[in-house]
Amino acid sequence: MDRKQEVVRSNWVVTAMMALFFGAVASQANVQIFRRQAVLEEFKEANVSSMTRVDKPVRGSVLDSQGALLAQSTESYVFGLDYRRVPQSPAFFLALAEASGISEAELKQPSLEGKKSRTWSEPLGRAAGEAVRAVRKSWRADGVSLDRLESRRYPLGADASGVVGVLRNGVALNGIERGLDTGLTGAPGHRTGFVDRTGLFVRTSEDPVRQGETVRLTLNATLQQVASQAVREAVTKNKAKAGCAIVLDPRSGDVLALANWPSFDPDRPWKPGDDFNMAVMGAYEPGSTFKALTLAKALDEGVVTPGSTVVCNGVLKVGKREVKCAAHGGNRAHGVCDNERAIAKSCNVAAASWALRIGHEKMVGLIEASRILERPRVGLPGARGGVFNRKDGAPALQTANLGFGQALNVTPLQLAAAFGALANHGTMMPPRLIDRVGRSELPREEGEALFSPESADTVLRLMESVIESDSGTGKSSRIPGYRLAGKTGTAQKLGSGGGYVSNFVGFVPAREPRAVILVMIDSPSAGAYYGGTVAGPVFTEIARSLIRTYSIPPTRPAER
Amino acid sequence: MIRSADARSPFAEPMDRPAVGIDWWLLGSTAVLVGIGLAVLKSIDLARGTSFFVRQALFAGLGVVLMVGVSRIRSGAMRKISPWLYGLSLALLGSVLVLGDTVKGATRWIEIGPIQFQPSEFAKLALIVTLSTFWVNRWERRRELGTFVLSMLHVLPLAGLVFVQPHLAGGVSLLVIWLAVSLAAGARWTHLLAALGAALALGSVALSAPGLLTDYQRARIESKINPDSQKGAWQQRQAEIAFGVGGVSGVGFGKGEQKASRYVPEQQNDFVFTVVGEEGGFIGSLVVMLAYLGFFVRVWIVGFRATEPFGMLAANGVLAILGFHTMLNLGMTLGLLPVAGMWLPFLSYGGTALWLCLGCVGLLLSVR
Repeated sequence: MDRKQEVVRSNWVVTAMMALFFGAVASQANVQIFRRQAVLEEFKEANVSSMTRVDKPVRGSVLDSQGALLAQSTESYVFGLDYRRVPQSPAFFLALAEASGISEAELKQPSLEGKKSRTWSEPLGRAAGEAVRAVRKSWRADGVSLDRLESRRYPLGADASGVVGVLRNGVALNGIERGLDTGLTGAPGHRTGFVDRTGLFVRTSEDPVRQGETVRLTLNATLQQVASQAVREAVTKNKAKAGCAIVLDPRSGDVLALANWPSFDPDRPWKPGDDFNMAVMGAYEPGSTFKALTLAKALDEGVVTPGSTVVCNGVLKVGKREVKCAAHGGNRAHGVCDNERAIAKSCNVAAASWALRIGHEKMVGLIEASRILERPRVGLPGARGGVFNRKDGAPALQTANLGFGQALNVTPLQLAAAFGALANHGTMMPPRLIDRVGRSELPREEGEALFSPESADTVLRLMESVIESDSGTGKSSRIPGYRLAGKTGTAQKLGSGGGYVSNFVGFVPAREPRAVILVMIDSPSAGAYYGGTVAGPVFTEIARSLIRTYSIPPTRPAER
Repeated sequence: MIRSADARSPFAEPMDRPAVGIDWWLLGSTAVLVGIGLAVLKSIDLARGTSFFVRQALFAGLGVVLMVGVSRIRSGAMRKISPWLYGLSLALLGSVLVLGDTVKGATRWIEIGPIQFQPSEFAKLALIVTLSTFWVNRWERRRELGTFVLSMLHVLPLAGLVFVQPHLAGGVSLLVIWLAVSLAAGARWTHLLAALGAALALGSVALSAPGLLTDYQRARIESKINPDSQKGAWQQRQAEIAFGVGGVSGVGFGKGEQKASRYVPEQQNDFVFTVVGEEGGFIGSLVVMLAYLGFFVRVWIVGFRATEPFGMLAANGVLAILGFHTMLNLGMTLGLLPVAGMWLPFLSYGGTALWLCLGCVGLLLSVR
């Protein structure tokens, strides 16, 4: 081996390097100078060929406690054909007819008439849509169009739109739809990739779609409907401004029905204010129904005993002011009242004197503990809290007024829960509307012991006389075979407009109640305004339905 | 064309050039390429909000230190430490299989503090030094079959460890170094061709012989040899589009649309040249190609003018490995060759690769 051989060997290395260099330069010049236009044409194609496909999630359903649908989304597809971009093959139309359920003749007809395209107005269901999509893919028929349409169905319509809420044009407007919008919506999935020249989608990355979660409420669809229709009837008949009915299971706080009127049809445009659900968005004086809570507290504190009496001459002086009983037939005075008579006749003087004996501090303590001033936290947007002046200049008068449910405004749902304590041996269960979101059950809150079991049971027993005694204010609400308990209330509204709020709280049945029902009718203007007359029938209607729904056995004669 | 008529004995005495001094042509072309590489990474950072530039500048700083250090080692000392370099390569490649990070199904990296290190790149430099030393030691018997077989036994353990990572291109690179150094040393063509034929036969028998591999194993190997060709073709088409957009004079520094839209994946790495083509146009591409031509001609001259066999062999090893990388990478980017994960010397982002390149330059400076 000599130097010459080395040089010869090395020379081809240089030659090869020069060849590679000129080859590379030539290739680059070709792409960047000579073939540039053709390459740029490709650029235009390439710009549309990289793409992300979005998989939309299906919105979750809303169910009642029994699994009945309150809101459900269904997917459908608007189907269209562009005849210039589909195969002109009988086999294709045969396959398409089979997939879509539209006859072959109908599919071909527009083409024979010389039309270029057609869109079918009746959307295809989910299964047919998928089948048509498969046909489109296997035939590579670009002219087949499928536009996804999501429609939301509300089987209870206006009877539940105030609580279930409404989704319109993809926007959740109110109720649970809005309160749990995030969970119900789910999250879209993305598939990123590119489309090559053959039209094949090549996926490079994917994050999967998260479907909307199913929400299960504590409501009972049947009770909800009955309650809503009863409220609607009462509001219409009494020419009232608004009304609501709340049905709670006092043992768990579960809301079985939450009805309000005016309401609106989920499928039609609404008037402003129709979405106002007074059960959680309004605050009202509880009025005389509150006397039952005052009495339970008084028994608890020992300032009233089961045998106590109050002498009512129609007026009670508190400082310089007076507390009066309503004038029935010109006579305010109820005379000597034991506890049962005071509740049955709804005596303001008795309630005020119980409250004064309890004292200001402990009455305020009752209001705090029962949470009736708090904002309802059941997942409904727009809920408000109550109003109470903690720094009133005349505490004695305020205490007396509190005794019969004046001097404070509360949200009906919170008030209903507080009444639940009387039916649950003194323990108040916070209201609960959402049972499950997806697979997770919402935790139950601890109950709040407001009264001793004895005091609560005693007051509940006394409240039977409101309905069952012939002198009771709620005697028109009786149901044969069943002993019920309740309390009427008629609160005078203060401020501009005036008017009354007619109330009724009732327990079905009277012993070991399965449900507490609170009815409030705002500003009846057709003449009658007493709670027993205006709100009582709503209670009775719901109570009948409750008895049927839960097969509550009649009260045994021994207990009557 | 260059001094082919020189009749003097190749390594007997210094030739007509200054024996000392700095090879400014080599350093100049290196500096141009590293500088363009940093500019490209800066441009990518501007579009994407990444921080390749700062890190690569840091890598380059360390690389220059390495280059100067290597250039100070005399070739005698280099030959003495070559067994240690070889042993260290084996140890690192072994440890990567045990400790390495698995990225995209292949285990190639080990973490040293905050930096990732790819031992297969270090092994390339170590192999150049080791094989050069080996052939120099058996210089008198360099045409014998035994010497050739022994040289092959040097490369096989390293290449084997890289193949099982699995890192096909890295293993082939080591074989290329071996072929080039053997060829430069004067091994017989017949031996080289026989070895190549045997390797190909062994590979195809392993792939096709029934019973030797399970279908599953075969599918795995085939997917390594030809990974995702559909995606690769798409990348090449995007590269071509970037070049077309660049045209003659380019869209200007930092203004590349194709670059900003991220159509070309791993653009800071294997497809770094597409940024040059889009933003610098044909003129920019030509400047880079000329810099490569100048660099490689200069490497060849270092080998040609070497005063001792070690320098000549080492220069040919460097020429082979960096030339192989450049050829495959540009061939892939220009759409002339299929996509294989080969970085572009000096331009691609990555510490270990840059250190290998600058270490090679240091070796060249040391042996001339």
